[in-house]
Amino acid sequence: MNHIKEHLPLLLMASDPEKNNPVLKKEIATTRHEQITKPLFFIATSTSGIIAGAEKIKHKISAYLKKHRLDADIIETGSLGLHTADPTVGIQLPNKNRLFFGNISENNVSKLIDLSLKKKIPDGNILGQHPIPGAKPWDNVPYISQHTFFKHQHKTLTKRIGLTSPDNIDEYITDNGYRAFASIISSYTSEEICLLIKKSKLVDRNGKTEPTAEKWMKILEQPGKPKYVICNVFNNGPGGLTDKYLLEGDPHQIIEGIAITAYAIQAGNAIIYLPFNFQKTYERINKAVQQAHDYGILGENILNSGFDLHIDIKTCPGTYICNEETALIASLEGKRAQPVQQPPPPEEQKLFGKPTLVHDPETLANVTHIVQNGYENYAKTGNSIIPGTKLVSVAGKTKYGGIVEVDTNMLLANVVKMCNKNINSIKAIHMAGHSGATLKVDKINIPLNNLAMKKNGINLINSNILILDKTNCIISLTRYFMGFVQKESCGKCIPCREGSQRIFDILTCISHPECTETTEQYACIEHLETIAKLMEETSLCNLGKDAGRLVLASLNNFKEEYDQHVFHKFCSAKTCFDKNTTW
Amino acid sequence: MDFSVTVNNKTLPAKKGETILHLLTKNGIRIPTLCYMDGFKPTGACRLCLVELKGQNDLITACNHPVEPGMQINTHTPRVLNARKNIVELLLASHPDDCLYCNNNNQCELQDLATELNITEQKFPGKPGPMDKDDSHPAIIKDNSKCILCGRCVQVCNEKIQAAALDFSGRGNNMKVDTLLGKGLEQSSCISCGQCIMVCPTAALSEKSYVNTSFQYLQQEKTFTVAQLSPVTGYILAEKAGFKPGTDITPLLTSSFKQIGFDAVFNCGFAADVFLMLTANHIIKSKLNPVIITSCPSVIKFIEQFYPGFIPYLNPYKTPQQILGKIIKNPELKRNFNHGKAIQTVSVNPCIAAKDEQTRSENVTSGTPDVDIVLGTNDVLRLLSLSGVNLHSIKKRTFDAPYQVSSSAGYLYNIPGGLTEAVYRTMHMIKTGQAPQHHKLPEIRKIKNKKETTFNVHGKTYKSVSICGISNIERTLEDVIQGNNDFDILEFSNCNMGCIGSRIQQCLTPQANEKARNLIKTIYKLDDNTNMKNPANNPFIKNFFNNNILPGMKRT
Repeated sequence: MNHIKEHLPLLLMASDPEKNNPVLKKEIATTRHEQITKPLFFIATSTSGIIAGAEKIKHKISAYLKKHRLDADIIETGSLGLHTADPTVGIQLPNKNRLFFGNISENNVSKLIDLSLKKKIPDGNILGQHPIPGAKPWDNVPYISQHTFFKHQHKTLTKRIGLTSPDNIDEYITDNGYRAFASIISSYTSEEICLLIKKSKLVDRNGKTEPTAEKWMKILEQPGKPKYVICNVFNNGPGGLTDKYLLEGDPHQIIEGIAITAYAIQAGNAIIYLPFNFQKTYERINKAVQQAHDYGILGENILNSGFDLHIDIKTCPGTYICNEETALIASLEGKRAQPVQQPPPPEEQKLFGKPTLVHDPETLANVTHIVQNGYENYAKTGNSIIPGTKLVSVAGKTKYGGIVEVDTNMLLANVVKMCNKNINSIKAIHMAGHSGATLKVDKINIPLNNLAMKKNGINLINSNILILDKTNCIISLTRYFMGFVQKESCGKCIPCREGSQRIFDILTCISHPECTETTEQYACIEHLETIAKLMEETSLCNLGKDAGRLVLASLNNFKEEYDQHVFHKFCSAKTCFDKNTTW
Repeated sequence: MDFSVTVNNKTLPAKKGETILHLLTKNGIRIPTLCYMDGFKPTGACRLCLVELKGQNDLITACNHPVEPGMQINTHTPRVLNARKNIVELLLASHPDDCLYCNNNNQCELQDLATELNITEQKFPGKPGPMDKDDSHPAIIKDNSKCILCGRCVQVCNEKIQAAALDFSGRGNNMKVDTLLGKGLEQSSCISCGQCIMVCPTAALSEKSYVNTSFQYLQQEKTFTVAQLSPVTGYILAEKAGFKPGTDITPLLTSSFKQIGFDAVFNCGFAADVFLMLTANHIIKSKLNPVIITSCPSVIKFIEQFYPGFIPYLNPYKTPQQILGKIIKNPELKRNFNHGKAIQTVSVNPCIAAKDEQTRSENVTSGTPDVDIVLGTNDVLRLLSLSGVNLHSIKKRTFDAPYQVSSSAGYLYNIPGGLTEAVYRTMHMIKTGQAPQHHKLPEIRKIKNKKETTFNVHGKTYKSVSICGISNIERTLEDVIQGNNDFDILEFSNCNMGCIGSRIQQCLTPQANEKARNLIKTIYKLDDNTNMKNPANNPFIKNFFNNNILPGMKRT
């Protein structure tokens, strides 16, 4: 018997559902794993965990439990965000705080469980303890929030990820989930929601720096039904994992964001659009959408408010250009995914000719957060123009890597410090993947928001921070990104299609062992600049423009490295001119 | 609402809603374009129409940017010129350098652009793109190595023709214009209309040339080589051959063909008269309503592929080219002229689809095609220059007997609406034995894409409509399906200005339309001034219908 579903109206609408209801109170505590009678094992089986072997660990643990006839539950969660520690395992014993262990392998998992069940904490793999209300702390174990990686983060959108089960709607509901949505559809008008978001000063996280509320109000005014909300789970290029992380870790948060947005613009249809190869993401979001339909949180006449909303999940063939809004809509209509240029002011994109709003998951998660917790605090967090928090992923030559959530005023340099002990060993930072730029390490005091980043030629479509040390060659890196653009360009406009090919060829030429003609290569560098500038100035969509800017930044910031390659046939990172590399 | 815009420091009046490119063209300021086509939605793919807009960081494209009050536009600043030049240089980097051997040498927009932008050296080293060449189709060659992916053909094929035979496949460096599953044009839904060739700026899509084959035919002594000329070829070729537009150079062509070795030159207009007689009889006898009359092979293919339900309504007779081909090779009739030799027929026809039509199974009799090869207008000029013929110094000559004379109605079928007018005259003659009082149908003589008229033959009124362009045809057929119209006769042709416009409408420019319009007027003038306006009056026709060859004239 599912008590949570039974008490749904109470949980969503009542001001204090637990009051005078001890049965429900107990039920809530059990659902939230606060009162448990048997040990719980939490395994981070999101994509990052699976890559590190979380599935194997899960089987190993269940085999262990079976062998020792232990009564315990295994709960699958999203990742904690510290991907360098994947796969992580959390162990919670009755009346004790939850313990988190990182870098678990098949060899040490049995030993870990053995010792933990005997309440002896094994050395080495411990990440920290997570406090559980009413439970006793472990002695001599640091709290996980004090971990170097997590200490300076500002966890709001990601605060539940890694700690709760994404597959369990009950857990989300008992954590005040869907209350915000329930309250707005019962007692707010669409205009009031738009106004609330306007007061929060929320700005889109898709790299375009548009105030979200303005977009909503425009669509709300437009005639034509049905209206569409599209959640574009595709915003990240190479290395960007933040959207995936949000959807796999806390899918209901995104669904609530979609639902609130849909109500604010009076849309009856929503589409979650993701690449076909995001298997785990699809599984989790699909399950979550089904649960929400099952609970009557989505569907027709939601909670007797008269508001209908259906969410569909559509997969696309995984071409990067589908991330561009106009190409995305073309693709959903069954056409070739190519961006359509619309002269400024950019008109609203329209799916099947109907008013359509496209958002990325991070913006939608922010919407949920704002409606849940009020706009006053949100507007005060971080930057004054782009308030709130920003999710970035950190990778490369670093001690800790993964998903970081910081406020929008946090300096890039500080994020780098969070992940790395020694900033002196770093040569450069590549910010924002294919849409960003490579920066010298002494020039990274940039706040992590799109306004500041734009001034440095970086478009935060992709929010990946790549940390490079002296074993990374800037030319190889630029070549890698141009390879991506050359492959992923839709091919429509000449500067992007032909330009990316020529730049890729030139970069191959100056780092290839068999290319010896120095004067020719010198001309190449000039061409590189010409073509990159052309791409930046004249490409149809941002893919080409950003790529041009990336090459220009790399040329300007690391001129000496290009000189070394061309004139001295020397690569300080020793990755170029290698005959063993496949070119 | 009108306002002013500053272009190159000059103030120009502008209308709300028009694009920058429109404004510039209107005021005689030329900027290069490549992907842009009049009458189509601009795609902004080629980025050549870039202009500098004050207050905007990036350069903007003029083709799809609407004018706004107070705009300050610069069209030829060094920054803009450099960007344009670089774009063309990028295109040239992956374009093969074999202009000398190219089908479109000296008729290539890319060449013109390179000249216009003063590109004198190959700047960027590059490698060619996809190299596959598709020559499966009898009339069209698709050479992807020469393709610059401007997307014109894709737009024309999908939006105007709606055959959807061509589309892009792949992306980034693998992108190309392709047919369904890469199976080749012959197996695609192509209706051979040739519009893609007309709009292609390079030789990526070009017409298959049969000049060498025809030259071989001429050198074979044991065979009797016949040329059959479409009646309007002379008009269409005049300007290209250096004559005043509107001159009929058919007598010169006939003479030169004889000179370079054709054994006989016949008039395809004669077959048009036969075709009109057959069609008029068909309409009179037809029990199905409406009757679709067309001499356009593309329309026939379009209806067969996309509206097969209308096949019974389609006029069952072959087109004049194939009718004459059949007549020439008729074993009874050829005895009159072939001296016992085997006949090879070369048709001269401005229509690209005619090259495809000639290969259809019903046009092949026991293994030999009725018409062996079809030469287009470009082919004719090449063949003549190859043979050293100077059209300006040659003597005029008439067609050879027996297929020599045609009525002026035999010219009219090449004009949109002309077929209806010609059929009307013929029907009147067949029914009443007299020519109609007025030879003109005034409504039909207007120059537009859809022309409705009614006419009366022997007490029966026929309502007819003549339509150009596949998209209009499709709309009409849908209307017929819905029961929304009550026409008795539907006349269809694919090319916007009828057959006469097929070759002139290069790149769909307004100038080309003007030229086609003038030619149409010339044909009407010819019709007004001719005595023999009715196919039934053609003296050879009377003889002809005594011979029992009619079964071979049907398409199926």
